[in-house]
Amino acid sequence: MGYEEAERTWRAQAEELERLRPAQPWLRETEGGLPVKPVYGPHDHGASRSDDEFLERLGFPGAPPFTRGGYPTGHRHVLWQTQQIVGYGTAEETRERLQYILRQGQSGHRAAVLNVVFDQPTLNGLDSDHRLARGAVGKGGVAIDSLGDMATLIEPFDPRETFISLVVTGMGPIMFALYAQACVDRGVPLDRISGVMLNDPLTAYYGARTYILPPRPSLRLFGDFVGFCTERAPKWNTVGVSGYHAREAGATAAMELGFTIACGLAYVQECVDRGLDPNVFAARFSFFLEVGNDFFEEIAKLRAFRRVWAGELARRFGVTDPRALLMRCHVQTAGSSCTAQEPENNIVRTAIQALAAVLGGTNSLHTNAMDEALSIPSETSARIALRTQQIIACETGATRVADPLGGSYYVEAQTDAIEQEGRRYLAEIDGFGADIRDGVLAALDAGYFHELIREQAWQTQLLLESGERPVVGVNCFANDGAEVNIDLFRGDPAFERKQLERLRAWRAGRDGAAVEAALAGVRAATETSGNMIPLLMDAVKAGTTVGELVPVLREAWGTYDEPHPLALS
Amino acid sequence: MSTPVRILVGKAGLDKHDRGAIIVSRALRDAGFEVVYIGSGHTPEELARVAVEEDVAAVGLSLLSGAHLEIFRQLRAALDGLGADDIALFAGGTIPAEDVPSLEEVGVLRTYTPGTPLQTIVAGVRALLAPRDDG
Repeated sequence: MGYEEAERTWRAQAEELERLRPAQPWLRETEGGLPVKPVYGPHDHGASRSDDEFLERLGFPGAPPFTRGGYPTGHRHVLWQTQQIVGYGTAEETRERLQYILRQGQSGHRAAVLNVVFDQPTLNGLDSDHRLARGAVGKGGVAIDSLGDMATLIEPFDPRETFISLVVTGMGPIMFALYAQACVDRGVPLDRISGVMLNDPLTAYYGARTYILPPRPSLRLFGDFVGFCTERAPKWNTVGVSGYHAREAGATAAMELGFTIACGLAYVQECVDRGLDPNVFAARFSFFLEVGNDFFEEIAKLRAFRRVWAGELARRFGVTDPRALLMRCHVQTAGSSCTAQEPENNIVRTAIQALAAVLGGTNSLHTNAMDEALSIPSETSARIALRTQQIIACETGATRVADPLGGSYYVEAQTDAIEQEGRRYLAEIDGFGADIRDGVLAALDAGYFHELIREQAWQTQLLLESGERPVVGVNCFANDGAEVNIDLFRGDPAFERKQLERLRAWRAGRDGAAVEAALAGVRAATETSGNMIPLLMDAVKAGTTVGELVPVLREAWGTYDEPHPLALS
Repeated sequence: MSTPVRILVGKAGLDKHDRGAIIVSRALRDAGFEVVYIGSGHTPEELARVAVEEDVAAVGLSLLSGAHLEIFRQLRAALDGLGADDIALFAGGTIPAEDVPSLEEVGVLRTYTPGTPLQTIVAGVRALLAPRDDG
């Protein structure tokens, strides 16, 4: 029997089964809406590719286009970095939890791996005593107002042996100034510090929403920052372009790919226009992505992501250095997939998502704790979340082989499909402007990102409500009346009082004239094209707080107004 | 009813996790309410003032920040201070079940935790405002 005849026979059998027992809609497409056939074969993708096609589309791990991962042996020799986010209360509470998580084995390429999240006042550039900060200080993240807070936070750690991730978007350059100055004050030169920030003002407008300034000044500050780091802090990863926040707000995996790569390319464009060399600075670009429940779609997405990024950098900007072409990413499991009902089930969801991230070749990983839908993690739930990664790393054998699913008919076909869908969004964004940066800015103005994400969130909600997208313990196999019986973390109102006291003491202990002079320096620099980063460092050194710096920038550059959500739907 | 009942929906303070608030707004609007969506970035006192100015029957806030008890206590007090003790309050977001009685004590008549179907929320809000419809 020949191939075609065998295929015909299979098709007849499959169609008969479908006629007798029509498959649920969610079995016929991915979470992101890509169609899925019941079986894939050699004609669905390039198992029959020539060697040249193989090298162009897939290649070997550790070589462009990096579809199969960034390192020649995958995770066998270069394990992903475990990066559990930590942050609550004041710098003192947070550093205690950071030490706890390190004792539990959080590890990476340096002795201490710290991943710090900040409270909403800090993320929005407000001091803890701002009227809008009331009740929010130290909740969901650590409160950082000043250089003193940052110095306290990192006091137990040697910056030379630390990799620190600072989870800030619009506040990136200011938070870097605080960290960098705190290190310099301890005698650590900037070329010895290593870390990463989201520092991603563009996706902040439609994703994280923690924007500080309007888009164009944000890009200027971004360019300043990349220029500064390239010269002075070359081990600092300048950006973690975020798809995570858009996903949490409702975007599909393909939107995540298209939107995030568009924003990444806009940053490259900004830096190239300033005369910076993409072969150098792009090697310090990274991405912050989500991996949710749809196991194979997410694996395919990570593979496609690397291929598209490498391809676009080469095609648009002539990048040739493999270190710059490689898309490195930090993955966080999907907070929005965690349920408040039967929260222990989130341990299982998170483990499966973490495995997908590992099989997709992630470089770094945060696994959500089971109480994600209820509160910030307790010590116990944080430990289980870290253990989940350690079990995958040590017990499953998933780290033996680079790109273990490469060559799977389905995974390769899915990788191609998500690339195609993601490129469709990228092309639409390109269509908004003369170059990718103008395209992203014009798409933002037009509400393009907001509208697509909010509509998708609405459609997803309808699927959840109708039960067409099953969620165990919520809309199927639900245990009515089941009580949440895990111990939840409780913030202490004393944290806010303590932080307000720290802030008062800080203001009392500084030289007011020096603060005014530093702020005047920042104000003056906004009117020039000079690099702002040294001035921000001078300002925090003089004692200015984040809530004093941000208004100076806003006076010069304005603020951003979001499109109204109900006008769009 | 001849004129649609108005509801103020938003976030309190700085928390910008607005996926839930926007979806609930859309569902309430589709159900015939007039939704004034205010987003985030407001103090409880500012929310109370807007609620009175916009003549709403209820205020619904979505909170994922953990600050729900303080915020609602302040909002209720601010509304009462403006003589708007007839404006009803409802809550949504990552709120532990054990906090629901405390929220009730500060005047939050309905609390919707993650996973609540939209129909439940719409029906609950409708019931909350039913006497007003009759009048």
